[in-house]
Amino acid sequence: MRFDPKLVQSEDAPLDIDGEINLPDDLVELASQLHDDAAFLALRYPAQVVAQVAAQANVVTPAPVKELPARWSASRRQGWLVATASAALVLLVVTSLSSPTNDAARTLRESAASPTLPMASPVTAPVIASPHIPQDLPRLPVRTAPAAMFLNGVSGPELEGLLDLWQNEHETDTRISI
Amino acid sequence: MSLLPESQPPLDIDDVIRQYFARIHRAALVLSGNPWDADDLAQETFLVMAKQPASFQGRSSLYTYLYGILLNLDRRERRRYGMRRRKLQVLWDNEPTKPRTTPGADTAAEVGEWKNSLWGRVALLPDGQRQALVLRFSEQLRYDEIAEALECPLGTVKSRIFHGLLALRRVLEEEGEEARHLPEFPYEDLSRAI
Repeated sequence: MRFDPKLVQSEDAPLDIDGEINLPDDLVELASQLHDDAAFLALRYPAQVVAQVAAQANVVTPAPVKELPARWSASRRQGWLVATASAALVLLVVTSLSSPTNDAARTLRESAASPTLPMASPVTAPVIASPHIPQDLPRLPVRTAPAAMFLNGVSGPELEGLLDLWQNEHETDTRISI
Repeated sequence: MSLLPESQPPLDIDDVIRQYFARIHRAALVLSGNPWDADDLAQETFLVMAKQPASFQGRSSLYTYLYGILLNLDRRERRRYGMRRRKLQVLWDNEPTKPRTTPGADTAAEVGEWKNSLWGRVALLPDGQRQALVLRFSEQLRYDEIAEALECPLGTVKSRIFHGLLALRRVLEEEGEEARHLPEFPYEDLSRAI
């Protein structure tokens, strides 16, 4: 099928002698209202981000291309591991000196020395009194496990450091649960 | 920081922003039809200028150059919005018959204010007419300056202004009809309506 575009030729605007658009009265009023509305909206929603734009525009200006950092050499990696292990050691010393965990750590060592875990005195678990629960049932003792040092959130290099430190401690036989 | 080629006197970008940002923001406000997009458009205009300082050859005035950038950005956003709107229209038409969802109670008061202004209707007009009306009645540019910003002949500028006003008058006359399509405010979030 032959292409037959139906182009609509727009009418030229009516012009006066001076070349200005010859608008009817209602359109003149409409134009005036547009101007007033624009002024009102500009006051209602003023531009307030000039400082931000200036900062962004200055940042956008092309910066010299930075060279990518060279890959870490093996020696730098090893040094990082040593530093991390040292930090882990410091952390271990600090936590062992803190009072809430001091007793727990001592208990851990003492319990590790004996083959069996000590049986704590029976502690009755709290029971919610309810008419449906017979009150004459024997209350089961609750074992209190000795305090343990949890290694949640320890990274791989830190763990390696801790393991190395523990291996050097021959006087205690500790167990580690991960 | 100089923005112009060596043949042109150097301009300070900070100075340009201080001098023209409010003006561009005002134009973006009436172009986009909502204050939220206006901020983005105005900022992006100056960022484009900062990224491409060599594109301003000094053949036109700086503010007409900035208006040209703004208009191009506005056209690009409209095209993107048009695609989203067409997709939403399909979903809207396929919705089961139920009362149209009206804007929630937390809708900003500015939305209603905008919808009641003439520029909210101008935002519904075709690009050429809308931009010509903005540059003429909001920015008060001369016809030759508008022709420079829109990159079209002088006669086309006057024709767009005239027919734009006619189209605006027609929109106002048809306001009483029940809305059959998407809500008039083109940037209204319809995610809650669907």
